[in-house]
Order: sequence, then C-alpha cells, then structure tokens
Amino acid sequence: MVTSEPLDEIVLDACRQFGPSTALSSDRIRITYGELATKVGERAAAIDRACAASPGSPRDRVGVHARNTVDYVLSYLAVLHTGRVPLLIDAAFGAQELEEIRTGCGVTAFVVDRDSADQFPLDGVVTPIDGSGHALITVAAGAEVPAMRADTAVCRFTSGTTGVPKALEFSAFAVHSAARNWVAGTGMSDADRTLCLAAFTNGLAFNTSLLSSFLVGAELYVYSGLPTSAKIVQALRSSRATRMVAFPMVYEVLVDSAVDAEAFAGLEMAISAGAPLKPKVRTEFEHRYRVRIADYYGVAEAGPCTFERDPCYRQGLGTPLPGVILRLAANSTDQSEIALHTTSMATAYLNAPGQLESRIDAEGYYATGDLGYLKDGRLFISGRVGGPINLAGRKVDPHEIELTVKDIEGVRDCVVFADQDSDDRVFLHLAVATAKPLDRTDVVAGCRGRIADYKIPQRVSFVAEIPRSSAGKVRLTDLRRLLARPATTAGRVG
Amino acid sequence: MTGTETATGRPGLREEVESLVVLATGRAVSVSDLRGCGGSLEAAGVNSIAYINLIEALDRRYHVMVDPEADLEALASVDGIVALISAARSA
Repeated sequence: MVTSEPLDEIVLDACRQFGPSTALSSDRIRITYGELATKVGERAAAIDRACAASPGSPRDRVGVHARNTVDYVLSYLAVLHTGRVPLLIDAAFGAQELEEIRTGCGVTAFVVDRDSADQFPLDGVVTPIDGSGHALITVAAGAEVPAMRADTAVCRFTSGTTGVPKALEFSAFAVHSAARNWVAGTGMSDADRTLCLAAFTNGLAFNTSLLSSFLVGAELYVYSGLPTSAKIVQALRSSRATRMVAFPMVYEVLVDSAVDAEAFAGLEMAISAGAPLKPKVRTEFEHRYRVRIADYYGVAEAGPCTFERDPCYRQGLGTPLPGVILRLAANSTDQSEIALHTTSMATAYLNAPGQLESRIDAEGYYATGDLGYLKDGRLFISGRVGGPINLAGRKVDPHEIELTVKDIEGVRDCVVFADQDSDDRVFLHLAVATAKPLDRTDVVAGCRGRIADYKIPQRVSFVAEIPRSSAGKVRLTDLRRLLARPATTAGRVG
Repeated sequence: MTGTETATGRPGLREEVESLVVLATGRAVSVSDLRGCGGSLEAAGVNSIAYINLIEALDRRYHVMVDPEADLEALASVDGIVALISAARSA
C-alpha cells in the first residue's frame, strides 16, 4: 500500500501557504485560503454534530448528493476532515441508484441540499448541518455493509454493464497523484482561475479543478446549473477565468450562440473531455473566441491520462501526463484496446468486488475498453470494445435502464441502445415489447424519479418482439431494421 | 384551443414551440410524442441537453432570455414556453 498525507491535510497545508489568495468563488461568494481552513473546520464540526444527533450515528462513510456549489466543496472537504470517506454522488441520481448506494455500498448518511431535502427519494431523518445550506439525511442500514479498503479516502461513481452505478474507491495517494499530474502536465499555477462547468462528481471536474487548484494556490470558480451561453458569459465575466473546463456539448452551444467574444478575453485555455469534440466546432470556437481548446483524455478508473500541451497541434487527445504510461499499438493506425498504468488508479469497486481487479493485468495495466492508436506520440481514440454508452460525456449503462423499464407493469421485454439524432449526437433509444397497451408517457413516468433524468430514453419505440438470438442476445441489426419501418415506431402498441 | 391557435390568440406560436422542442432533442422526440404527453416536456422525457438547446433556441429566435433555474416550471411544458414568449413580447 502506497501511503499519502490525508487529503484534508493537503488542503489545509495549502490554506496556510496561500492564506490571502482566493481559493473558492462563485457569483455570490469569494473565500480566501485562510478563510477556507476556518470554514472547513467549522463545517466538519457541524457534520460531526449532525451525525451524532442522527439515528445510527453514521460512522465511516457519507454520501454527498447535492448541487455544485461552494457549499458542496466545503462539505466535501469537511467530510474528509471528520475522518469519514465521502462518496460523491451525481445529484441527478434517483431512488433506484440511491437504494443501490444504501444497500450495495453501505451508505446510511447523505449530505443533501437543505432546500430540497424533502424530495430526497429515500426515507430518512433530516438533520440540518449548522451554518450551511446542507442537511444530513440518515437512512436505515442495508443487510450488509461492504468493507472499504483501509486506505480509501474518496469514492466516485461510474457506470459499467452491471446494471447499477459502481463506487470506485480511491486512496488519498491516487487523488493526490491525479491532481499533481494535472498540475505538472498542464502548467497550472497560482495565477490560474478555473471556471469548471462540470459537476465535481465527474472525473473531468474532480481531477482538473478541485484538489489541483488548491495544490498551487489557484482559484476555483464554482458554476451551478445548466451551462447555457448567457450564464457561461456571466460566469466568465464574474470569474475572469484563465481556464475553462467543459464537455464538448458546451463548446457546441457556444459556437451556435452569438455571444460576446470579449467575455473570453482573459481565457488562456479551454479544456474539453468526456466525448469527441467535432473538428468543425473546435475550429469555429477557436476562430471566434481566440481561445485554444486543449483535449484531455481521462478514465474514471484511472484518472487523468493525456493532455495536448502543444498549442499548434490540433489532432488526437495529446500525450501522456506525468505518472501515466499508455500501452497500445504504437506509430500505427491499427486500433487496439488502450491499457493504462497510472499513479492515480482506483483500487476497487466497493459494490462489485473483484471486477476492477479483473481488468488490471499482472503489470498493473488497466484495460480501458477504449480502442485507439498512437500517432506522433498522440493518443487517438477510434471506438469502444463495448460497455457503457457515452452520452455527451456522461457514461450510461443501458442494462441499468432496461432493469428499470422491465419493472414497469405491462413491459414484457426491452432493450436500450445508442442511437444518433439529426445533429449526430448520441441519444438513448428504448425498444419495448408490451403485454398490454402502454405509451411513451407510461414508460417515461415509470423511469422518472427512479433513475437520473439524463438516463431516461429520448426515443421510445414499441415493437411486437425484441429480436433475440437463441442464446437470448439482442440482434441489434435486426432491431434497427425493424425500427426503420415507420409502422413499428408508433407510440402505442399492445 | 386548436392546433393553430394558442391561448394568447397568436396563431402558430404553439406549433413553432413544438418544432423548437423537437429540434432541441435532435428529432429524438417527435411532435406526436409531445402532443401525446399533453405538451409536457417532462412526460415526454426531454433531457437536460435538449433543455439547453431549447433555451439557446428561444434566445436566438425570440430574444427570450430564459433563466433555467427561475423559469424551470414554465420550461416544463409547451404552454409554459408559449407564455414565456408571449410575456416577453408584451413587456
């Protein structure tokens, strides 16, 4: 086991070192490093009190299921400071995902937004966390509480193909390494102000913005809500950001909008990751706003992997970051599965023992499931071996949605697959066979609140039967052919 | 209310909004899907990416600046969006 200083101590060291500099900001608040140390201490004491006052007095792990706010960062750091392990949960997760986190991950306490605590999908006791916009909700324990690794400091979630979100266990060393590698590989400094448009539950935000900012005394501007062009411009002006971190979809929005280019004047670098960025979008964005988009490739299980440092290079996903070794076909366009060795690797899936380990070989390389090749030392991604669907940077497990739909009364069989809309964007397409008349509204209502909204299929097609092989495997080619016939895409069959 | 007249008496606006919603979803959701759900974007399963596209389209086409948080309820249905546009036009 490789050890590291606890993450909260690393942040508190930064607070001592960079005292008067701004650490965290938003459109409403600005907190210096000196103030951050005080606030984290106060918040940790408040969380300790809320835990002590709650039934079952939650011990070693706390889920954080809240909107992206400055409060979120404070509660995350505070949970670390209490000595508990924070599990960063997508705020969009619904009842089914949270129930799995309760039973499969042994989480009985959740930090939530106080103003929406009454909408939390699981039954529990709400205890306000003093001095914050958060509350602690404690729920009944599941039958078994899976043991965490002794060195686990943080858990984040990823989708696979198991039908439930999987909790990745990261040691403090791995989280610290990811931040150090990002700083060293991208030249981040105390002069940087990062506007991060992704949620901290996502690796894109977690690795590029959170601890990495604090390590060098940089400023992190916290963005909340949907990334619309008007709000992004407002945030750019308010933050005077030097770096912007976003999914490719955001760059598409900015290119399609007639926003004031002057708002981008202070921006030195825009970082894109999570899904492919269309070359046309890159060219148009860089031409209009005079800001380079730097590509970043990261893997939930392995952390940040590559980054393009050369401002003149416009192809591929860059070269390996410090601490990262890639293994795949070199100097060739022959695609092979990308294997990675990083210092920021997760150690296990808390609720899927052995599954992560089974993808790591004897030399410590993780098989990503991404297909690609190296050219001029740059990584190029050409496809996927299988696994989750990439929905604008969010990974979605189709099996999880299928399980939800099959629970709807009247559904006999179904399959969820990736389709492409008229703008070439990937969306979720559900084909469903029913035993009684159902329509789109019934299906959407059956999913709403149980799974995250973004996992609800955008298109629902009703078919008499899902074509399957004798082994029960969906024959997707036949299904697509079936769906191409207008009569089978009617909204009501049964 | 008919298919070509809205509550505000502005012919075609409702249809225009329906078309915008369909385009915002990249045609993954159809007009008949939307009407089958009584004009409720939530019931039709419109996702957050489509909401962003829709907000941008409302700004471009009608110069209606929508606050995704404050106007969330209005954004949830075709009727609500028609009302937002009508209110902006009469302001």
